[in-house]
Amino acid sequence: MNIPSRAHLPLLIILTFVVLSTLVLATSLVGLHANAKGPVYSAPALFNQANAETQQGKTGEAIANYERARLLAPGNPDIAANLHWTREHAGLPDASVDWLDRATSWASPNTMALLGWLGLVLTGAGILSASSLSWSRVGFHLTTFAGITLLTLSAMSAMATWQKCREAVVIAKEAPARISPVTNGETSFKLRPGEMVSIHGHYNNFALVQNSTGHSGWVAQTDITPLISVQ
Amino acid sequence: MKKTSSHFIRNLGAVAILTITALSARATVSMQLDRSDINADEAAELTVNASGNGSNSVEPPTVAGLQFTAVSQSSQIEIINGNASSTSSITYEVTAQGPGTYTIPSPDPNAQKLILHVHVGSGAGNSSGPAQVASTPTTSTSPAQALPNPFIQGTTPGAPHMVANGAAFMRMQMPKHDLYVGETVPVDIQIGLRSGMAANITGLPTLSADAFTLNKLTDKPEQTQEEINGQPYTILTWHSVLAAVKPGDFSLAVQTPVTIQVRTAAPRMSNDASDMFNDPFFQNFFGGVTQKDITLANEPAAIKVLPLPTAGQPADFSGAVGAFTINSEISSPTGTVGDPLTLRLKVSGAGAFDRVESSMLGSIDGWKTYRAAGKFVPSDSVCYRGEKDFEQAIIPLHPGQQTVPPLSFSFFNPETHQYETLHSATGTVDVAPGSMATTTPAASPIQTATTTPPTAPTTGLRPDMTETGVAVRTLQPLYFQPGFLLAQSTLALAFIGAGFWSRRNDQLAADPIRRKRIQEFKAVHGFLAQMDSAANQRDASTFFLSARQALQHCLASRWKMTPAAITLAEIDTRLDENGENVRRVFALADELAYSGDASIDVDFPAWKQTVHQLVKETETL
Repeated sequence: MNIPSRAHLPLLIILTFVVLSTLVLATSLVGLHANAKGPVYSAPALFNQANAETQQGKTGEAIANYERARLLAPGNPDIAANLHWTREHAGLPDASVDWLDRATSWASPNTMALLGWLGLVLTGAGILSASSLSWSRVGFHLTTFAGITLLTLSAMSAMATWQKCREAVVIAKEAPARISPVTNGETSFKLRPGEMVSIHGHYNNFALVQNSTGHSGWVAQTDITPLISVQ
Repeated sequence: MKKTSSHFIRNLGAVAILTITALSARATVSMQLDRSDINADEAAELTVNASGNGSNSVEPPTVAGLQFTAVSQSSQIEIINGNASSTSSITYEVTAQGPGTYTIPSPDPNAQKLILHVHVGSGAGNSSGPAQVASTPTTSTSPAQALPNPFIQGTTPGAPHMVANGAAFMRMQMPKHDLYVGETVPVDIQIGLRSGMAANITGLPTLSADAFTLNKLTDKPEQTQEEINGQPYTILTWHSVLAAVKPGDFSLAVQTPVTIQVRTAAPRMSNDASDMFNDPFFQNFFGGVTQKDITLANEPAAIKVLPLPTAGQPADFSGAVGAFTINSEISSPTGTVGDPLTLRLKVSGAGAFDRVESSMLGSIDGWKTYRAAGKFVPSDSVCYRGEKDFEQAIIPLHPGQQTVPPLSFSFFNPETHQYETLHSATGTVDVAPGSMATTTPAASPIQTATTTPPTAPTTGLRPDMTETGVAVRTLQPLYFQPGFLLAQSTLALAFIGAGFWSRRNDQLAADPIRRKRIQEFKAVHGFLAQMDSAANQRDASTFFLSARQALQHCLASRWKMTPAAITLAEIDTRLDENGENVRRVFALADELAYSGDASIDVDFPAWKQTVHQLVKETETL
């Protein structure tokens, strides 16, 4: 099979960059999973900790850890069941799941990110090969399509994860949401332990949060725990 | 009341002369100060009375550091039975160049000397510089011993310090001056402002040495009143904790920027009588008060910071320095297999609680342990004393009487100068058989729920997972990690670059004329580079051969011929008299090619420039 000579250089360049990108990605993954000192997170460990906290009556912490475990293992039925059970016994409704969550919840955000990287490789290789090489154009087009699909799913997952980055769980027994970010500020409403809120800003030791009913107020940062944070 | 008038001063001499001329020699003089204590930015009034039947020569006293300015005068002459007697009175405004105690001598040696105490004020000099705090009169004494040595440091670099009894001072009180690295001590930072002094503290106190840190200071310091040397002071106190961060001998001071209101001295004389507002009366009446930024600082204290000894340092030492005690407890003396218990460790005392850490129990037989979490509850306002509570969830894995190993906590005690390790008591828990044994593989949730009735609060809760799962260092997804973003960006840029390159190739493939021109362009510039190289090596044969080939390619592209067809004859035909230089290049190239003599004398720079110029002209044709 003859490859046109003018295609050699771009293919070599692409190959070089793919290898380079793979190395960078591998380094990132090694850093992510390295057995370094300090806390490490896994879905089972977070799940077990959440179980213990549920039995200790620490509803807020338990729900936060179930949610974190679900981020790492989104399809795990045990996590979903215990999260539902804990919420139910705390008198809290299940968190709303929008179409973005449903479309991307079949894999963890990290898996979706890797698929996005693969999608980028397939898309780029498919487009360039189809334009440079004269053989098997249908195959290249299919590769491109698969790559774009993966890229789209990954982008959707990134958007859903970005929303998770702003979410927090109330861990205090009673968290007053105040009109202003001061300790003697007038209480607008009260949040219950385990309630999910989205964070919209910070001021001193207060966070501006919005609950599922759309009410906003300032709560002490010690009363909530962000879902995605270094503990 | 402070009054000055240049007119009085101007007329003073004439009045004195007339008085002296009219009166005979004998006179008595007395002096009186309206007050004996003033601020450096204030003025006292000295009244000098001269009476007698002689010449009442009234001269202001001379005192180093004091300035006397006449502000009013009066005189009265009486002639009784031919005897003339006179009384003259002159009032001087007395201002001091700086604080201190001044002695004003009386012209009458038998009379008592006047004493004027000048205190540190908000300034009496020119507002452009710290003159009012820059000098200490040699005649001054320092009467205040009760005050800490107050320093007022001018904001002008290199401005001298002044030590004197003042209207403002700063001090820092700390219990000890020998510290260890990591040790914390409570400190009180105080600013004293004499009551009535107009001052504005524009910043929080800061330390002068980087070997220490200070806990965050509140914007609202504690405010008290204190009397020092009979003067009421408002004391602002910040309670904080000072921590030593590196070993060595240090001089530690604390300083605060302060804005004070300064009464400025007006120019005493005016040369321009027509300018009404230059008159001292108006200058003293209007304004005369300005704001001045200074830095209050206390007298630096010598602090010695010792390093923590390396010998005898316990393995679990986390950097806690202070005096602590521990206490531990288990949430319940009984439990069930699989049900979590809470193990608590309470570390209480005084010291650096931010360094008080404990991992509590690690991996131990018979128990499943989770990560411990600590929470500090201060018992004072500066977080120096308090209690740090650590909690750890532990789950018994086997029934029977289970032992909870003792907990330990190590710290360095600066009082005893050694490391200490405290141990809690061993605990025991009676564990009943339960349903959530985590050492066995997890049954399906349904089986667990139906076959083993769980404890009340956990009904329906699915059991712990037994697999370890994939561990990650952070919950932050790959999307938002720099390494992943770099990998994605690199790849995307590579594809975009390759796409442009491929597209350009396609465009060239579709345009043979453009492609040919590019090839010719490259060929010409290749020959020119070869020619330049030959010039550097002074190889005339290669130089002219390369020059001819470059010109042949240029002209061939222009005339749409092959380069080999460009000969001297073709040039003669097409260029006529304009191609003289081209002809010379071709002729020299032929001559050198046929003769093989490369040693001819050639002006390479000139020829190089000529050939480049020819190529450029040909390309732009």
